Amino acid sequence: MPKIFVDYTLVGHARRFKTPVKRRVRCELHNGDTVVVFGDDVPEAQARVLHVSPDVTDVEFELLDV
Amino acid sequence: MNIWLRDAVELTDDSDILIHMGTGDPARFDPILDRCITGYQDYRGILPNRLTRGIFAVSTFGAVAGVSQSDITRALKQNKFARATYGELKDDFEIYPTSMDAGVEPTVMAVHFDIALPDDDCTLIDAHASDALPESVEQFLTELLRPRLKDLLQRLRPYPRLDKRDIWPEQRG
Repeated sequence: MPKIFVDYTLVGHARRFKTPVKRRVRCELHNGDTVVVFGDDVPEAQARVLHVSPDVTDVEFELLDV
Repeated sequence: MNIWLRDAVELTDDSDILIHMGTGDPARFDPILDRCITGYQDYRGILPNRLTRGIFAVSTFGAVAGVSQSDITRALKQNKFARATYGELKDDFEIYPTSMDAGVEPTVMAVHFDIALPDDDCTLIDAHASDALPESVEQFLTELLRPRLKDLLQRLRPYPRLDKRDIWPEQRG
């Protein structure tokens, strides 16, 4: 399962959020995929990819297990 | 990510700036720097002194405009925070009042400030998408920025959350 770093300083407690993801990682993601998101000082969590496009830096995720 | 520069700099020399300190462990700097590099291009065109350039930004929040330090820490998931005053940082770091359409609640996002890590005028030109750099360039930038991030973090003081949990492991009894 892909692991995606999230800057939680910008996300706060939101369940749905957009975060920038490198293009080479985005190209491996599809809408509906489940990934592991992690951040500094925040436990890992599973999230669903809501919207990803190779041409758009931001990927939208929804946390699944919080 | 849509980022915009707010009209006024609300900080005074005595204003406290809070930063989460998950980054306090140098072994964990690289994901933070990776995020700084990926986000560089989002700042092109919005900063008056860097119209064709971005910044390698570290997110912070100012305890100003009626938003308290506890308001900020409650709005974030992290447990460790540190602080410095604007006066302690402003001579060595460019600090921009920025907001963005991220998940943090709007009242706290309204006091978000980006600290630009000094970059020695290293510029990624427009043709370089900062989310798709060659690994060699990413590595160069990471090595350039790592000591700058360390320098920033070393200037900060611990900030205990209001729930009385100390932020540094060695202070936990």
